[in-house]
Amino acid sequence: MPARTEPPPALLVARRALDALPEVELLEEWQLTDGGGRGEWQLKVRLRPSALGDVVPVPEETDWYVVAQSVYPKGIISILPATEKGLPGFFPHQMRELPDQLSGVPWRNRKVCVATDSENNLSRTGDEEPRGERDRLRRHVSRALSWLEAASRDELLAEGDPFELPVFPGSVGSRLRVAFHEGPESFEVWSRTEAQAGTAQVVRLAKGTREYVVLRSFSTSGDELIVSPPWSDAIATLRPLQRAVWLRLPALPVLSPYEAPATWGDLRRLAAQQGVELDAVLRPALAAARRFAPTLALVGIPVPALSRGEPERLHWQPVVLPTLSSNRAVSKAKGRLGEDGRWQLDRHGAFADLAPLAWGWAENWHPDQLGSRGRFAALTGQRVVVLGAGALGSMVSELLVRAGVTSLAIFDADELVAGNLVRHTLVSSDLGSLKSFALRDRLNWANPSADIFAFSSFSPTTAEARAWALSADLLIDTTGSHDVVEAMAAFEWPSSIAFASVSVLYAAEHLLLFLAEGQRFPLDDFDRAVQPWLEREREAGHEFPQEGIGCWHPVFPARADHIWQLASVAVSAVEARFAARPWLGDLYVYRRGFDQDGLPSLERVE
Amino acid sequence: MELKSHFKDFLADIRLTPEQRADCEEGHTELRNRLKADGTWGPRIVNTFLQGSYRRSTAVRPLGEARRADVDVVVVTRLDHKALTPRLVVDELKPFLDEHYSGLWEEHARSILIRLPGTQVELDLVLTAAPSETQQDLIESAAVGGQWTLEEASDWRLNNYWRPPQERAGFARVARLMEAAAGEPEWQTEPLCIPARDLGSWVRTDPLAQIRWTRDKNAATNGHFVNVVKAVKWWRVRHSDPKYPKGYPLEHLLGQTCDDGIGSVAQGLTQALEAVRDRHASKPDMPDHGVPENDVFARVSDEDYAAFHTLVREAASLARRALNAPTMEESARLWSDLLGPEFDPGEGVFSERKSPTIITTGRFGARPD
Repeated sequence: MPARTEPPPALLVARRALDALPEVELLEEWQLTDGGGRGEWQLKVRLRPSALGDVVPVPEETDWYVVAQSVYPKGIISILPATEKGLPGFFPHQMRELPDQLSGVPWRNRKVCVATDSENNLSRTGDEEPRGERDRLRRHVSRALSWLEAASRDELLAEGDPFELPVFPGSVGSRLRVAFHEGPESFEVWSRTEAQAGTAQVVRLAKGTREYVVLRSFSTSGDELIVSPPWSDAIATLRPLQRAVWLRLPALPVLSPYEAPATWGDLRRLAAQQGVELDAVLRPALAAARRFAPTLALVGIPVPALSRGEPERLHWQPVVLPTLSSNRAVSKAKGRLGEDGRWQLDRHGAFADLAPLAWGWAENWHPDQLGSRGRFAALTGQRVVVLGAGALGSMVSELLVRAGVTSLAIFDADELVAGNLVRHTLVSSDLGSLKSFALRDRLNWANPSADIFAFSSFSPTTAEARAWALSADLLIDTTGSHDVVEAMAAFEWPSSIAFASVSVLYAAEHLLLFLAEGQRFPLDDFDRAVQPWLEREREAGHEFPQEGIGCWHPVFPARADHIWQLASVAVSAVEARFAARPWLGDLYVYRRGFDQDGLPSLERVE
Repeated sequence: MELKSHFKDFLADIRLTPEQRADCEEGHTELRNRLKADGTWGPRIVNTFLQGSYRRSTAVRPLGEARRADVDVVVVTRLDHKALTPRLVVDELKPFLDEHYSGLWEEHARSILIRLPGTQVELDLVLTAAPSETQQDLIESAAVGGQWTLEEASDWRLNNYWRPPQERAGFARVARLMEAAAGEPEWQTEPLCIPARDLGSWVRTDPLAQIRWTRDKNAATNGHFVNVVKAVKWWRVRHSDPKYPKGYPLEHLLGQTCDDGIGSVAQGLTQALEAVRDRHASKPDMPDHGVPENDVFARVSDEDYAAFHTLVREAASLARRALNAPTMEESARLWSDLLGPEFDPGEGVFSERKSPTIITTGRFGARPD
């Protein structure tokens, strides 16, 4: 007989707190789950929400398992429907993981997303989840009751909430991550397109514990290009991996209340309900793609930004295909199969009604989707020239591109040397390359939509460089060189553009930020504004360190944390002031110093 | 509020600890084995069995290091009650007691108390005279001997087929036996005679009838009766003036006042206290189960009962407020006031003021797993 183990006292406290909820009935005491190997405890409860609606059928009483970890009140809490007398079907805000029924546990793998912080994620509503042993479990169970009530009233996806797709079974754990690029602009193009199916070009981006592939372009079955999203060169130049088949549906295919299809038969039926005969649509695309041995199919679904809103972009949900019958497929009876025969094989094999849909994980890499953690408001979409790819220029470019600037041209003639590594964003594998080219390559990888150009001079000399410069909206000079400034002043733009001169003084103790506007760079205003500061520097008589033993070449001292701090300030300032143009030729100076406690301080000085 | 989980944990805290239970069982087994092996007493013993609150699952643990748990042991002998006087029987036991429990035993009016060293357990030994022939089988059966308690064996039936849980080792035969036990009628019990030194004669008692009555009452109250008794006994531990009634008389009184069909310990406790308050303002007559001529309350004085009744009035009112309280927090506090800190009072307003909540979220960085 196994030794009796007692639940930790914190779990007993949590269970007592449930006495406060009359809608909760305790059916079984805390037990170790699944033999106890995982350090988890399960509590069986019956929920009887008092305010069930009648829009979606939800049973008055449902049985659930509350699963907590031994380290409660820390750790994960899960609320899962019991296999027997649990809640049938799938609802919004409910996970779906395979296998649906694990052996050895009396619940289905359909965890309800009740607490915004059940897995230590950020709280969406800012509502603080209680962390005490007395309150945390109770809060989860109480929210489960609310969830049930909302489910019954069809209010889980309320109008105005961010749109949420149903969980496609198997997608969460899938090794395959499929990235696509769809937004309102491409949706326009798709709306004008007749093709319901075709082939897509797939490239592999990275392969580690997960395999990331990117949908590079979509064509009709007749090989006419439909859309080719503005992927960065990094992605555009990757070798094609395969062709996938794609097909479009008029609407999200779901079984009531919010269940994604699990088999090809499900999908066929749901498509038919939308007036689409799946086989008729799929077959020609498959025939066109077959010689490429496609292992991926894509289901295109129009989705809105907000629940119950109008669709504004396409979502591509990938399905991993098993091996299809190839062009060389042969049957004993009939010899070499024709297209009919191959289709029949596949229709009753990979695409049979009972064949499961092996859903992969989809990610929309459109900038307005990827940038939600932090994106420029004013600078996004601007065409920016950065002169100088040194420490300062490299960090300025990096900050610009990560936060939303996709059109950037970098001008620099120098090669990366080892001494640069202390404060440059490039790394030792870039040694020997021109800084501008290496930065271009790096930034094309940093932002999947980036379109970075590099020129190997400090100012536009070639026709291509001049053309690019003339199309710029903003020019940022980080060279600190008066020659470059003079060259800029000699250049004339067809219409007014914004200029930002960003430079640092000795030891990066000062940042000089000059913001101006015009068809030409206002050299005189610049010189006038900057002179006093340069005189002060000269009077200070700074000493410059040498590069290394035996070298007479002095180098400009400044540490990475100092330079990058000022680079950040400059970029923040440009973004902040961009909407407040025209810029009138003002100089802003920041000084980096130390306060009375010897800690860094940064202040604007006149 | 009924606070079912709170009561569950409270009851788990006030019952005998596993160590105390083990001590009880070992002590009893050892005594029985020693008696059987004894030259004089071996042949005189029909059987020994546990009776009392331990058996009926109405015992609470001793509160504090100094207090002890009493376990009642019945020793059924073949001695004729007409032939021997109570004094003589006890005197004949003395050599056995001095041999095995020297310095540890004490003669009481109707029993012999044996302290078990190194434990908090005392055996309260009661000798009985020979039962009738028919009763001999009953007393020797597994349904009577054995160390099971009512809570462990709520399917107990007093017939020859029943087996205690410890002896159901999964043979197919056992399943059939238990089916028969459930279906077959039970034996009739007869009172046993025990020597009462204070009266100078024998008195009659029927512990098996008491156990059976408690079993039936517990079944009629959805298993809550024994817990109501434990809760009230625990309350008495902290309200122990007057000393009496306590123990079995208190339990018997609750048996007469607790309604059937109660849905929770909280409900039964409140209702029973109110019933005592309302229906028994003066000391009642309580005929014992199986021996109706015995008044269970015979040894409780009127003065003591009056003082007890005053205590009950306060307790009933507190229990009703606790049961009717609208929030869990308030209800828990009131139940805890009634029953002691072993009942989780929750975090009251007072304790919250002492420790402000520490905010743990709002900073961002790498999230550890």
